[in-house]
Amino acid sequence: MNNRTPDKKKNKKRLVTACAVGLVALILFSMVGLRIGAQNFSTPFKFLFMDASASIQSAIVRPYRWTKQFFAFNGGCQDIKVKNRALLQENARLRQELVKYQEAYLAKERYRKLLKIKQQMEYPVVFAQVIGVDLAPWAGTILVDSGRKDGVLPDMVALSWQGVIGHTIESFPTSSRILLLSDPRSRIAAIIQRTRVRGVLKGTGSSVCSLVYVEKGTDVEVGDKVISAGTDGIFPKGLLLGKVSSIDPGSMDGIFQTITVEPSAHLNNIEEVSILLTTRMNDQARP
Amino acid sequence: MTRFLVAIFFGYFFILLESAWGSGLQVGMARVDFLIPLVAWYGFKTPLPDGLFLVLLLGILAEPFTVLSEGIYMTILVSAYLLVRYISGHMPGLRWWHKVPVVGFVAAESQILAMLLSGAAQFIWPWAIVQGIFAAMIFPVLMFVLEFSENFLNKFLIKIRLIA
Repeated sequence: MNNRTPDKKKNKKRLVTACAVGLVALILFSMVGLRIGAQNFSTPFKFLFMDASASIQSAIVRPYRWTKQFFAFNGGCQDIKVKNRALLQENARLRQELVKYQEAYLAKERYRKLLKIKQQMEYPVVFAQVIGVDLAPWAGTILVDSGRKDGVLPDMVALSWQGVIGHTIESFPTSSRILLLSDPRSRIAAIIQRTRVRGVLKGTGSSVCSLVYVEKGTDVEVGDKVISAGTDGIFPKGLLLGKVSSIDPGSMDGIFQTITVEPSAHLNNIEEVSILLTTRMNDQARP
Repeated sequence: MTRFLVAIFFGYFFILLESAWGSGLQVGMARVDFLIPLVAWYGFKTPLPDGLFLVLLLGILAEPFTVLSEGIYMTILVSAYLLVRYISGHMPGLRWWHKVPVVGFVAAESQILAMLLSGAAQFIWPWAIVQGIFAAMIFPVLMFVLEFSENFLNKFLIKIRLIA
């Protein structure tokens, strides 16, 4: 028993050695064959080898590709995120710039129109910025940044580039208060431009005014222009006040009709105004 | 004293803010108004007659910023203060969430009074109620800011005294 065991071990060792040598020889042979191009002999081995290698390679490469793709995707995503953030910031900045340029352009347009009014008017004009509104929401007054120092006194006409907005009721050294057409206290002598029908333009507290004391049966149509009559001592004749937007004939026993007038100027979003120094002119003209 | 200083500072600041941003804070004939909640906060904490001085002073400060007849703002602020004193006198131990509807009611009442006195009664419904709702909504935030400012000012003055 004891003698057999070493023989078996020896045989086994020889067999393993032979197999290893054979395998190495096969590999060497294959490699040499592949290298030196012994095509006819080595081709089946080469194919076999390449097939086996390809299967293993493809098995190995698959998870690598997945990993690479995963990291590439994430890296790409990160990159996209960074780029996206930068683009968004850039976009926001450009939008701000655009708004700034649009604002400057619109301000320039408004000033141009106000300047046009100034050139058309026979009175000196002072430009002012709106700096405040009335504390009471239903009161239609605004505060502007021109006052007595600029020659602005009470009862001077205030215009926006769209038309008349009201008149000054108080003036302080560096600011003035303007009573808008829409305020219920506002009353302006007015006429319908087309038919010369007279009335009084009265504020209602809302965004529209009403033309009162216009008798029934007089020729007034929707769309007629309403201009200042020039008889109230404040507004010069011929300034555009608004347009007739609706006519209500009123009750049977009444003698007046109810005419709603839409002011030509948007009274809710005034930013700049021009004030006609009318009172000053009148005072200077007086002996 | 610190409460008075905080109230007068914020009162004046709110008057300027409301005048300058008025159009942006306005919905119809109602506006996000801070003055009445401020007066209410002061009224809950300060008894007569000290509280009246601030309210009268705030009224005087507010008058130039409105075209309403002289005395209307003073009247509505004083009436708001007195109403708050009256309610808090009858309901001691009010929590802050109890004060919210009281402020809403007082603001609506003040708005109704102001509209009646200035000849704009046609706007009472619904704008006075909307005004009350606005006041009730901003009161908790305003209360927090005012309390914080009062505490901060107190601590600051104590520090100055200690340093001196």
